[in-house]
Amino acid sequence: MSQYDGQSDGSAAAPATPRPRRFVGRLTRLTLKELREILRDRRTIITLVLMPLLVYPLLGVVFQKFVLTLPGRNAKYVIGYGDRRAHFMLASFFSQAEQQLHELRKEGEWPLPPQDQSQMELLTDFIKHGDPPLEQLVGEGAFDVGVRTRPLLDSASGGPPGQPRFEIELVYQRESPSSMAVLQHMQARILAWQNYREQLRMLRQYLPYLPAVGGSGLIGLAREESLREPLQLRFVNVPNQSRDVYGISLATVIPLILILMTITGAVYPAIDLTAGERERGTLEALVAAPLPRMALLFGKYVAVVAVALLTAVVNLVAMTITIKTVGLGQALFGQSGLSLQSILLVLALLVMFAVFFSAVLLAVTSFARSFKEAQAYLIPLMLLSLTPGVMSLLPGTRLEGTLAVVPLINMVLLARDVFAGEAQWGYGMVAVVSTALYAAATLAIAARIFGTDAILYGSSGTWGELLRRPRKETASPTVPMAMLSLALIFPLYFAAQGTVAGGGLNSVTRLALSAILTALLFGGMPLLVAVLRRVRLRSAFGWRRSPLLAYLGATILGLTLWPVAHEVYLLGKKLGLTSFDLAYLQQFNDHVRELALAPSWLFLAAMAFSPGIFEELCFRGFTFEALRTRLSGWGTIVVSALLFGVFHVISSTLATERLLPSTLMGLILGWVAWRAGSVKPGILLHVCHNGFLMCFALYQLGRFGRIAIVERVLRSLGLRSHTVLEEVEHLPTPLLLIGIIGPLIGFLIVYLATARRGENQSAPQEEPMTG
Amino acid sequence: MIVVHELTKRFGESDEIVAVDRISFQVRPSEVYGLLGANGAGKTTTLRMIVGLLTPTSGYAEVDGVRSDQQADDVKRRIGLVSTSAGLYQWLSPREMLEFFADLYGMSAEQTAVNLARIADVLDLHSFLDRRCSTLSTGQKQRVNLARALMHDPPIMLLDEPTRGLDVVGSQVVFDYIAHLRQQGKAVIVSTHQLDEAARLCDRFGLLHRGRMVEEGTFDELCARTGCNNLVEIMMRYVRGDEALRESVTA
Repeated sequence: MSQYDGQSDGSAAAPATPRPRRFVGRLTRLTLKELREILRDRRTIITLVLMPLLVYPLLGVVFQKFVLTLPGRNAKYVIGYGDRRAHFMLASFFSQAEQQLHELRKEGEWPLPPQDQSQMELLTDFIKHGDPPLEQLVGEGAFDVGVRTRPLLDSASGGPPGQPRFEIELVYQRESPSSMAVLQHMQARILAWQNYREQLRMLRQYLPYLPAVGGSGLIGLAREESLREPLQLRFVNVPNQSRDVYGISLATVIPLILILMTITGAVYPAIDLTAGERERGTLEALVAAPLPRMALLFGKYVAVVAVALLTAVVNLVAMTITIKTVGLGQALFGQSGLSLQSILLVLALLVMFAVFFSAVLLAVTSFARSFKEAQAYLIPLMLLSLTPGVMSLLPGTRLEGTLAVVPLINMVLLARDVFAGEAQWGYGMVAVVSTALYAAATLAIAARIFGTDAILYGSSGTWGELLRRPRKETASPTVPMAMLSLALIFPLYFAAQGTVAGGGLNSVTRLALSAILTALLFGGMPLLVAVLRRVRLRSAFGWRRSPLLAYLGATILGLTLWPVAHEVYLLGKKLGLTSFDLAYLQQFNDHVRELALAPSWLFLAAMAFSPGIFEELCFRGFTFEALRTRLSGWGTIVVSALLFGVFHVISSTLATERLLPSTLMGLILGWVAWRAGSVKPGILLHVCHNGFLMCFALYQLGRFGRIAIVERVLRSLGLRSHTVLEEVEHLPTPLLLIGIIGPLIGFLIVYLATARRGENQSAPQEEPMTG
Repeated sequence: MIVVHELTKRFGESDEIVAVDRISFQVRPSEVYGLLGANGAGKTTTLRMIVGLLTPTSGYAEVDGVRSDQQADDVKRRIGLVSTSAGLYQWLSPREMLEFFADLYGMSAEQTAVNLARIADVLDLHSFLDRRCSTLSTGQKQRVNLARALMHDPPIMLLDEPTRGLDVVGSQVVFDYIAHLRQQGKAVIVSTHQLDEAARLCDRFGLLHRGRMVEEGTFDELCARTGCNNLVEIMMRYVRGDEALRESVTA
């Protein structure tokens, strides 16, 4: 044992003042330590590597031997013909093609899909008078495959000899295993027949050089058989319209398996880094270090996400190899099989999913005081996760409406659509954004739980304390509070707006509901969070006194910014940020006209005042105040503007054109809020901006009659009262000048009005409060 | 310098459980303060409030003029905590773990290397510095824990029952360690059940009973005030007092 004498370094009297280190660097090292610890544990390796190596080959065999062969065993299938010609053209060569296929099989030259190894009993049916269209019959499952002919353009003139005069349409349903089985059965025979026809055609070229009579086999056939027309095929996939659960889409099973495996990969690290840490007795030492709990948790979170992603990658690779080896690509994912693009897109979705679910796991396991307790919590969670996952397997379930914001279901459905090559990016974006917000909110909850008294010292702390309002009032909301608030607002607004829009309500009710909804969600949610977490309301929403001149500047900006916003909107369209066409625009304008039938005050309240006030309280108030506690001035402005922009894309029926103008408005509103140190001038700016445009819309609709002076002003600006702004390519020069000069004046006034307080921007919380 | 003023902690839905009740004391640099008391007396809760791991219901703890309920991170930076239940990261080596904690406290790589070498000498860690923590003996693990608390060279050390579960040799390591801390000029609070050793090591004592500071002073002061000959007798007096009270209530 060493002796301590003479070891003094004389440093004890002074406080340890460690050299400041970069926070990000420490976070990285924290994450690396967590990863090192996790990856050294052989239990991680088992879930990471061994599970996929065992599961996918096993699943491959199951899929091949059972699922895909099930429809072929003693099953009857119906081919529905749309016309007699189709039946004649196809049925007449099927017997011949069958024989050719038989020959080719014997020679082992013809690869067969697995389901073709069984005998299929094919029934023939025809569309009768009064029946619905062929697509509907296939979609509803009355026919497994529908066949019809369509004359080609040159069929009237007869076309060149040997060229097809008709196109055969094969209507099928990719989601239905039986439809896919019949389609592949038919394809195999059509291909065999075309192969046979090609051989005959080649032999015919040599007939003049062969003996005049006799011959056997193909040569004989080539002499006797007249060449049929080649078949020109067209494949038409129809969506499932059946209410019956007659089959589960295998393309949906794959993403579900991938997602479940990704969860499995994240479970162990999540438990080990939270409950495990507490059980080992290392958690106390960790939270006794001078690092925010959120930072500690974030390091663990990144480590869990990393392990989940590693699991996802290993699973994806194992699945791809299995599918390629077993040859299930086309059977599972249609004609194009499993493409590299699909794999990469699904990997991106798995990243999103890992980001979300790792946060959920950490939130749940942070509650646990031991490994066992965490496992007990996770079993119900896994079962809960399975339920929406299995729901998404049901035929007819689509990624649209409210489902786009339902966690887990949205990711499974999006992954299924990506695999099927049918993903709709609009709803996909909703799914991705909502998932990211849920992840942020869940992480915020986890940070509240992780390392608290109740968890750390289970016996002395209580759960009540965890949920109890803080004893002391705080001045500013935190970033987790803002994320939680946005994560609640986003899906609720999306779902409620869809319900209001599609509820068959009249314009008055819709406008009233829209105004109330905006107020309740954008005002009410942050208010609820602020009250529950005991944040001083005035400072939580940035409700401070501001110089009077700042209001003047904000008003000028509100009235004159729209030409700039319009030009930015056009720029977005030029950059390809276009999600709707002129028909949609027409529909949108009709919608506005319909709403404008309501009383003008209600129209303005719903379209100008409610969004102007409550969106500002949410984005430049609560969110802004939370962000400024962690970010620099510009960081706060940019992040809040991006959130504002993305929200407007989502809330306006996924109109990507709104991304740039809304983000620009967010930047300007953020700058005004920062300069003024208050949300109030921004509210005025927002209300003026929306109000001016809505008043113009009402004027165009003749709600105020035709006012001579307004008409004159419009004419002098190069506009007419019936001009639809969205359809204008570029605004007339006088308007553009107003759009440049007006905002410049507005900016200058706001800048000068706030010049004195601008010197003290670093301490906005010290602003004097009104009242 | 540690100042504890009217520190109180209540638990329960309506704060019905009083864990620590308005205790006050001070610990100066180069002083070892023994926080004594039976199980449940409130020793550990007090230490946790001083570090900022628990928020006091009322009162405060101040370290070098910084209150733990207001600037917890600043306080944590000044304190080294050796907890009774502290564990190690099983899959890391002591070196990796000590470097990790040094990093958490914002130390540079150079500082870390210097401190690690010094502490490894002091606590004789060299022979197992690169072995997995899961393979260490109980005594070795405790030595790593003592090293962890000292890695950032804090002026204040809080040791919560540092000898629990250790044999004679292991305990001696801890006692030598405490003596070393005093020599380094650190203000040390030790919570322990080994009262004889505490009497030998500590400069002053605070005796906690049912969350209250019932006695405080040097060994001689306590003996003079209570008429007892040692710390065990003093503590037993309060425990027996409780029993007598209970019996009278039952009667």
